[in-house]
Amino acid sequence: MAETERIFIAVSSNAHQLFTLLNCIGFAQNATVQITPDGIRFSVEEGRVVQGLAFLDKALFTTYTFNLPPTTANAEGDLSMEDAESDGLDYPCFVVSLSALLETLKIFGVNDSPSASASRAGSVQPSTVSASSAFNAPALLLSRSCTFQYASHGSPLGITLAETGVKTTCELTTYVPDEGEVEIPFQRDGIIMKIIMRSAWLHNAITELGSTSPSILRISASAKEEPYFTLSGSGGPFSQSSVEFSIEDTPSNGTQVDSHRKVLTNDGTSRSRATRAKLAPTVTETFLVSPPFSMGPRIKQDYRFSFIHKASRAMAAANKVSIRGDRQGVLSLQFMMEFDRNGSIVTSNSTRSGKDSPASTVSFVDFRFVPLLDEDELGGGDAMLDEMD
Amino acid sequence: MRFRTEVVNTATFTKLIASLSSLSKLCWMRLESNVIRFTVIPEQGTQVWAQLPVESIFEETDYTLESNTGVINLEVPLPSLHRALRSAAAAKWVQLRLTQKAKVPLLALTIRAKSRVKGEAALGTTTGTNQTEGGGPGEDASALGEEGGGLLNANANRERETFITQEIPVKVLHESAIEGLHEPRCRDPDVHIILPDLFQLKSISERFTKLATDSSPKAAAAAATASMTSMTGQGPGTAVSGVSPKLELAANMHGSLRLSIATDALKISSVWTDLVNPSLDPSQLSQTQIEQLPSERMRALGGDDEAGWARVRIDGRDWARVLSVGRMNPKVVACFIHETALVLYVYLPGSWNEEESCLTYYINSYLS
Repeated sequence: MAETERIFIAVSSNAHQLFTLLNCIGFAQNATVQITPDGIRFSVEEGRVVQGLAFLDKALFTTYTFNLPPTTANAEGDLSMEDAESDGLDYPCFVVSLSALLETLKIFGVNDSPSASASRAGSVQPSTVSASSAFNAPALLLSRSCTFQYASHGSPLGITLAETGVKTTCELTTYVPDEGEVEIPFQRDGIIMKIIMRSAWLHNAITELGSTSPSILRISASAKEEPYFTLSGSGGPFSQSSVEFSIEDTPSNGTQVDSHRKVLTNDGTSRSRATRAKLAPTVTETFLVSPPFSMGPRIKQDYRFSFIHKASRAMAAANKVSIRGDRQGVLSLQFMMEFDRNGSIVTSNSTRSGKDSPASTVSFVDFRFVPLLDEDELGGGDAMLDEMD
Repeated sequence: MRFRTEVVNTATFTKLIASLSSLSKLCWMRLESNVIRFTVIPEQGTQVWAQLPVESIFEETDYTLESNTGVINLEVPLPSLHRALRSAAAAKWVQLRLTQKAKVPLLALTIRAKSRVKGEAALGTTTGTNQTEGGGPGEDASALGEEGGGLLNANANRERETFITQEIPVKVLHESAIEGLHEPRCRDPDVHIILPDLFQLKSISERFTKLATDSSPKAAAAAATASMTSMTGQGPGTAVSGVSPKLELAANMHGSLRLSIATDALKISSVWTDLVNPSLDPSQLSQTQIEQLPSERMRALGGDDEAGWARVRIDGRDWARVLSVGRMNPKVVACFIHETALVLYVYLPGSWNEEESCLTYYINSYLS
């Protein structure tokens, strides 16, 4: 097939970035992929109660070519028409094995770098991201390239990894996506809670709670009374435990928040924020809680801990997290990932670099969770879905 | 029957034994007057026939071998020998000798270690410290007895010399037990090529194996069948399913090596280019003989001709164990006998004659 007929081809000089993003949602075996003119969207879900979404923005690639085939023009017309009819969407959409994709991207040995710890450090101090990866990424990745391509509807998703002397080609079989897949509905106009903070705090809290292997995670937030923001785990074999994000000026309350966290947030912004808006935990940058009247002054919502824990890789890798809840209790965790461009600059991407912000590329990974309702303790997910609908 | 020598190249010896012990628990060690042979024939998997000149690991001038036949054949438990050798890593002097205790033949490995002692710590009865040095963690006492050969002398430099002897029970093999063992014979290879960096090859091979293990193994077998139907009349019914995944390794006479695997969910292959196809020694074969070799016919085919590739199908896990020989940093020539076998000639680096110290790995190709 001639190059011009390919639907999609994108080249990245930094497979590590792509791996980091996709690894965040690596909790499921398969991912639904949608190629759009602006980037590639990978989504995963489990039991229709957890959903993860990673968007590989085209800015992450040095070249990004997307030719949407006219539905009648070329030889594969009937295939693409069929796809367009069934989907109602023009953009190609298919399912691939995410675990295989991740394993393929790891062939460069990107996994050898202590990515988790490096990113953790980076999420507290973003300037260290490039420094901590200095040993592996910039010097070694220069001669490496990673190419994604999708020739035509129904063809496999091709990933080519090239480095000096060896070239690896992986063709991932593409499957037709399950018709029944729907997004977990998140009511953007019914948001009753919005908390933005450094992702590392959330990761620390979840890791801390996870050590007692609870089955339920309760998020409790109030704008009016203490404790303002608490995560607690219960239902495990051990006793209940909770992490409370307190206000710095009243240290007596924050029994479980480590003192070193306060020291770390002791920079100008958080201090001024703490004094300006007293009724918000110190670590949060945004703390908006407005429960509906029926709920009282406090938002309390339960989630299955094991599901929230699926986002822990994203928590570890991300810079910031936006925690949002809607009226129905659906929880949205939006993670912001920042990549330093320095690590991936090669000569061929100079055409794009003018457009981008020179400092860093920002990508987002989203998670959505369906809440546990009072009546279905830890029962089946179907009951929850019924409640949702 | 006597055997005693000083081990001068402990590092090489240790790595060699480590590489062999990943393939099998037992090894046939044949001591001759100027070469040592190690042979590993596991029930399943890769055979190794190694031959090293005495001086490559032992001290030539201190090599005593006495036997009616001029050779000594031993069956050595590799894990025990490996553990014993690991403790000799920092030793100043290592001796290996054949002995016996209560009529059980033993290989006794004695090491002389020096440890610095601080000030007043020169205690008279510190034989207890030997055990921490000699005994590796998790050693079973039956396989590895320990002789607390505590010769201590705290000299002026407050350095203490410690002798540690570790005994490895072995079996002395009679000639009749080994006369049926012969090195495999293969026809001339279709393709011979120098393998790329073994660490890289190993890590990629392991990823492929993992990818295939995660997906269904049957799919891999089925996919490979399709590519081999021309050769065998056997259907996919003969495929071994549910076992370790099979990698397809292929090479041509134009410097390319390809590793690939296919499952339901994916097809993946890595291709190395610009590798070297070593030329054969012209002194051993006449020009016409060389021209008739299958590898020359393969070379005549173009680099992009699929017919010029010789393929074998190998067990992924076994292959990873074979590649552990990479720790010896050798030069490896892989000889492909199309859909039959893969023979690796592993030449150890070092000052001695490379031609003489060679490990030969025989890997059978699986049918699909």
